[in-house]
Amino acid sequence: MQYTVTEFEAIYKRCYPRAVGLAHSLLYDAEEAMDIAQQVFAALWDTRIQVDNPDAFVYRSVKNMCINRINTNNNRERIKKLYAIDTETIDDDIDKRLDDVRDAIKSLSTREQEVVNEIFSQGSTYREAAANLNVSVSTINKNVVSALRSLRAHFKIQKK
Amino acid sequence: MTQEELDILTVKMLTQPEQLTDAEIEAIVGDEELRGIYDAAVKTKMASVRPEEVDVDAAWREFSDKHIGVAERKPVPWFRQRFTRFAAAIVVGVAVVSAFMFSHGLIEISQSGYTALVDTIKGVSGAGEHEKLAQVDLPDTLMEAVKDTIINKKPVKRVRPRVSAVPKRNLANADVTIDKQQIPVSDATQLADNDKGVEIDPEMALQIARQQARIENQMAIYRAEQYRSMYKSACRSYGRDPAHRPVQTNMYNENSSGQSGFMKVVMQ
Repeated sequence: MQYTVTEFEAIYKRCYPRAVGLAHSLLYDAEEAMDIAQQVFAALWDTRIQVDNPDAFVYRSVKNMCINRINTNNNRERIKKLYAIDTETIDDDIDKRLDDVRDAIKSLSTREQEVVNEIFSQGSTYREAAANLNVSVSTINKNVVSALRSLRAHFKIQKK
Repeated sequence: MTQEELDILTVKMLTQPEQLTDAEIEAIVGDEELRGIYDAAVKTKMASVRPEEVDVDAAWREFSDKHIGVAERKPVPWFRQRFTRFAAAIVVGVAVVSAFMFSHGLIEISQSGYTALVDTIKGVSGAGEHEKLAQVDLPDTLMEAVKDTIINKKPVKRVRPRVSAVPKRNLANADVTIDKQQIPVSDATQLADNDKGVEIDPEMALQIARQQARIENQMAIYRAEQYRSMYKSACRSYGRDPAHRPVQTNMYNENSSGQSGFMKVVMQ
């Protein structure tokens, strides 16, 4: 039995924002994220059957499609795009994992948080971040490195 | 690798990744400390991505335009439903065939022609009316009408044999080719003149009757072919296999003599 258009529209409108957000988090590209989300919904529509849990189907499919796209890159390309090298560590509960990371970032010093926000969230270059925070590029370098060391230590402890 | 070297490579990894050497790439992937920092950077980046404002309605419109057919998106109004269009196609087809037949007048036996035919038969030598009828060779439908007039004394009517009565004859073996030039075009006129006392050759009357029967057969074949063609065409239009099964339906029809009603049609 397949979805009616009304049923499918409800699923689409419920899941689409989160599906795009998930793909955006993994690929850092909004256009690519929307493209992947559309492909997943197209696949669900084309199956012409109702799946038990459409929300889970959509998110898992988006995650897998993103991982497949990441895996088409070699290590050099992944490092260049800051993609995950070990995609097997990306689990289904990625939203919770990312919340944990956000909590960990909050545990950094104020300056480190500012630098992390400028570099990773705003997408500023180190020079732009230095100008925005009115510090030297060298200070930005030190703060990025120290922030990542702290976070790495935090995840290492969490892993144990 | 010293702490200072690690810090330098970390910064290079984040700021100038395109300038990394193969050895440095291997170190990032293989060195536990460097790899840990790289993974932390990846997680930080993933957690820091700001979700874009998405226009769900616009995305849905784009999706439905691309992947969901128009017919599936909206309920089909009655006038666009397949059955209605199928029935309309058949009705139009029947109307076209009927109009063609009417305009050509190919199966008509005029009232005056019929009267002349009856009179001719009455004039055939023989003891009684049954014997007279036995001496003429008429198509079944026409014979029935003639019997009604001669034996049952029913009033003379315009005679247009019903096509549905014709299939009793072997249509498949009908080898008559319609050639309008061979049809005695002025038969009605000539026979009408007979009403005014002009003598008509009995053989001529029989030839007319036979010719009418041939035309009648030909028209039945023609109409059957038209129905078959219409049905196949409709099947093609609506994705139905014409060889799937015969369809029996009642179709409203009105023939050229003004008779109307539902006609049972079996379409193979």
